Amino acid sequence: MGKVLTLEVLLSKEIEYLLEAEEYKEKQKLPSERELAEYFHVQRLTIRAALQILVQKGILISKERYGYFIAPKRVRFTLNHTNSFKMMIERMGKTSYVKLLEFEKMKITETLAKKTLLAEGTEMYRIMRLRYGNKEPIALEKSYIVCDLAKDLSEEDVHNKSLYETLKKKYRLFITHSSHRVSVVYANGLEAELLKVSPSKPLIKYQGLAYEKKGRLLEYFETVLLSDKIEFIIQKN
Amino acid sequence: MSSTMQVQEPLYIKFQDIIMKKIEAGEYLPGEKLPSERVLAELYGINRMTVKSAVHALETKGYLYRSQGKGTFVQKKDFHRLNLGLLSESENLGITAMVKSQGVKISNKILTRGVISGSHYFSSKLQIDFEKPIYSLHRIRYGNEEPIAVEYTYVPYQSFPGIELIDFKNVSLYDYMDSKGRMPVTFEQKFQIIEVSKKEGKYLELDQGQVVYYFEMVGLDENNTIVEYTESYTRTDKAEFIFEING
Repeated sequence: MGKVLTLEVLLSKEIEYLLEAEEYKEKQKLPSERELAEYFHVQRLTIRAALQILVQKGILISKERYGYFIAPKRVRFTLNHTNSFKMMIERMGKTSYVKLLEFEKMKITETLAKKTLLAEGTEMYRIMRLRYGNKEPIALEKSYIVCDLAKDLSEEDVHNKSLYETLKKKYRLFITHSSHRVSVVYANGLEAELLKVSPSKPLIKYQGLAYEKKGRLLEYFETVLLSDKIEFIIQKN
Repeated sequence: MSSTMQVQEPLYIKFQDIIMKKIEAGEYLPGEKLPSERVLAELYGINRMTVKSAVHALETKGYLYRSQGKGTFVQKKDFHRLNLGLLSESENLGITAMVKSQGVKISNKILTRGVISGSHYFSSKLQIDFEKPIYSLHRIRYGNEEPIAVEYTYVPYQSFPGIELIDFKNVSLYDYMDSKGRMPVTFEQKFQIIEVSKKEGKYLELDQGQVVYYFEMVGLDENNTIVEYTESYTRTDKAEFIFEING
């Protein structure tokens, strides 16, 4: 196999392949170190180092004296399809729920005007919701909708409902273009409290601008997600 | 060769055109070192003064740059957009890494490179037979001398014979792949945020417990053939990712 990769790294990859090929499920137990060492014809210490790499990557969980298990799967968040978050969570076999925290009509702030390039004085609905997967908070979603495009949007329209579905059905607004940005931030007080994590825990910040069919800006959103619960997927077109 | 050079135009302009065309055609890749003036003079059967004037003109035009004591190199195109193996030059093909500050000068360090074979994992990612050789290239990417990302790239060796001769410290992998007509144009990518391991932490100068973007991506060329599989670890304080969605 050559010396380009260390034996431990190569082995960790071969174990990954094995787990995929044999369709190991979430929380399933792996064969013992001894069995794996025999299977791959290597020393137990080498197997242990390889397994450790997979623990580090969050693929496996090690429980002392019990062995290695497949870690809980992350929610696969597909970026280039307009699937709803609800659907993505449910596809992982988890229940999805979204709780409305705040809903208000407001004048655009200076920061927001800079981000959206909308005129001063533009009115927007500010919607803050907390997203749960299997009853655990998973994301805090802030969305700003241009009032003129969705007149009389109400709390009932967005409480435990898909915002995009409402925009489609009630206002015939279809999002045809959006630009997105992903970065890492550290939880502020409010985020830490709502997402039940310690302050300064790294979170994924996912921001974007969404435009409707006629090219008018409809929404600016800013979502923070628990970084260890999410995996982003970008499929080829 | 020398007979075609005997024309009315000043010789150095003619020679300058030849070098420009070679750069545009990707025969000389961005970052690649140009042969020495003496070698070029011999190669084209012209005198060294002519070579010197042409090289100087190309420097002024931004095609070449001189590095003191090292030689003359083909200019790299864009310093602001970091090609972390994730960038697609064309539109909407994947997620793009943006270095957070402008005017960053990108450099590479090769950690290791060479042929591997007999890995079920990598051959399945590249969708090639188990016994087929795979060329692997492991690099640290720096911005202004600070580490930004570690990239472990694997390509099917049989699609890129001679890849072992390319100077990837200075030449971009995608420029090289492009010159072979096998540039990845569509991607399947996934990424997570994970705690950095000891090994990558050392490369990226991060302490244990700090997080990184971890990417896995498969790149396909125009014929939908897989030409690349890359795993990368990127510092979250140095880069963010942008993408566009249509439809």
